[in-house]
Amino acid sequence: MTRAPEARDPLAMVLAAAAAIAWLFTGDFGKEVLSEVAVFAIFAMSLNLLVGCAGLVSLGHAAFFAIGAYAAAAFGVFVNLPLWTAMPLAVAVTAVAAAVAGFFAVRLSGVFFIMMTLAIGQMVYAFFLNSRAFNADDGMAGIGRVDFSFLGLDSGEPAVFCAFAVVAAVAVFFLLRMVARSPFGHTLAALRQNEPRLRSLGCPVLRCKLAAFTLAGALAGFAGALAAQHSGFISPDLAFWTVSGEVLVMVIIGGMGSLSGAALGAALVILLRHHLAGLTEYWVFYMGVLFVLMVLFAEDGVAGRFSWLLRKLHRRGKNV
Amino acid sequence: MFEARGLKKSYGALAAVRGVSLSAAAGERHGIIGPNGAGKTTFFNLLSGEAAADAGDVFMDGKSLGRLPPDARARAGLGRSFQHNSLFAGLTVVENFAIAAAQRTKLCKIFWRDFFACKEVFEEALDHAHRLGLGAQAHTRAAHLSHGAMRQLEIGLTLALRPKVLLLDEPTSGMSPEETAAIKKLIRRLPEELTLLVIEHDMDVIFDLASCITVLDYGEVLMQGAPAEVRASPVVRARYLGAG
Repeated sequence: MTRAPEARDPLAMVLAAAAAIAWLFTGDFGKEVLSEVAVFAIFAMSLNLLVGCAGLVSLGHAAFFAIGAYAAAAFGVFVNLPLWTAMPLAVAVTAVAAAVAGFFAVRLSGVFFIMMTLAIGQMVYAFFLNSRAFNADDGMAGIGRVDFSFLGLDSGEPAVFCAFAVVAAVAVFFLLRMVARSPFGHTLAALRQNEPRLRSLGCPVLRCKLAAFTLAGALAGFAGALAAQHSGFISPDLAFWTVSGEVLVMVIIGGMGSLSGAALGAALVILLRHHLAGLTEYWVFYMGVLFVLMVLFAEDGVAGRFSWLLRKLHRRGKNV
Repeated sequence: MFEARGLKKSYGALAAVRGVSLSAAAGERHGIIGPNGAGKTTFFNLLSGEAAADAGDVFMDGKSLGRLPPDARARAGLGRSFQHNSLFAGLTVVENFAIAAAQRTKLCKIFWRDFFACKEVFEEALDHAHRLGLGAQAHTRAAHLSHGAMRQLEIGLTLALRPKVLLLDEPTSGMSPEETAAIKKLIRRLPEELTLLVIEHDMDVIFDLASCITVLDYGEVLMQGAPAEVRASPVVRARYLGAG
């Protein structure tokens, strides 16, 4: 079997190059922004596994982002674990939480699945908002970062943490690409196309959806654990449903089903937010206009338009 | 041995299937006929688990399929094709078969290998496409196939499951005479030990293939017997075949 040319994913290479250039040539503020982009790229790519591959539109994905952030902070603050231990533990805790939530959610489909994930997300938000142990609506501050002193590096430096976040995003990209290209990933795609048929072929569809939901949740937790370290501060707002909506917007603008598209969507939304917010108070309005235009004229997102352009250039190159 | 006992299903006030029993020995070719609305497809949905029966049970080799969901029934060896094509429209013929084979072989759980590099399923899928006469269209997307080829793929997907009991819901619906002949040939070449239940409107097809026929009418069994008996029955002639 041969792959379509876009499977080589030139967009991912462009993004990696852009990240490298940004890391080399921007100041501390640029590197902070790049770190944020990397964290949200992980978050958006994890949601893409649900929305793009399996066709499960979740409006509660921020719950797992927040659980990962709180778990990493709690293991650090309450148990005094170094973040190298706290992070994998946070991912494990999030995976368990996602498995429990998924157990209920994957039984539903369509709008009911969306409503269930929304409810689960808001329940997690309400829990952190009222939980005294986690400082309720004050949130938690003073969260440290992973220790790179064994390499002689200080992760307090934006350049160091930013490089770490970007490497983490690249690793998650390769992990999710492997999953998407695997028999399991193709089974998820078949499930999105025709669930009754897949079920009649003997596929345990609920277990497949649950596995995808758990993996996506765990990776969102990983993004959350990084976000907590990046800002050093967490609050219940991380779990709020608008955060879930925002990461869904990233996936849709980037191009559903495209991993590099999800990363690009994260970059676009965050960069536009930083730039537009400086230019106009109406930046949310302009973001909305962009989103409406994308959904109307480019269902396959920026990634889809990019590969369309490449195909066109490729054909023209051949004809000349 | 495949057996349905007293299956019942109502949708609101409408009793679609009212206590249908049927048994088919291993290797039997069993035809199911009846006028539109007789409950044939609903009966199949009860057998395959797509719909939950209000009463009654289904047995395969003496084991109750009870409340098992469709996927568990499929894994137990019960395959079905659909009256309206139900395919993976965005995938090619070979990919359709490869997805089906990956479910049977449990390859679908593997998340670290490249699907397209899984020779075992793709060789089987290509082989399967050739045997079904879809070799020339192996790399065509299912959505772009002709109606006849889609029907072949529909049945072929179910066969990729290697079922012990096969339920075919109107395999020749909407087909040209040549396509119908191809499907008949395909059905005749099925493994002998396979138990086949087939719903069909084309009487030539059914009287030709089936060794036993069940006539459904208003959700009930009107008659069960050999094709010759059914053809000769005055009740069936009056109700269904059209007296003449």
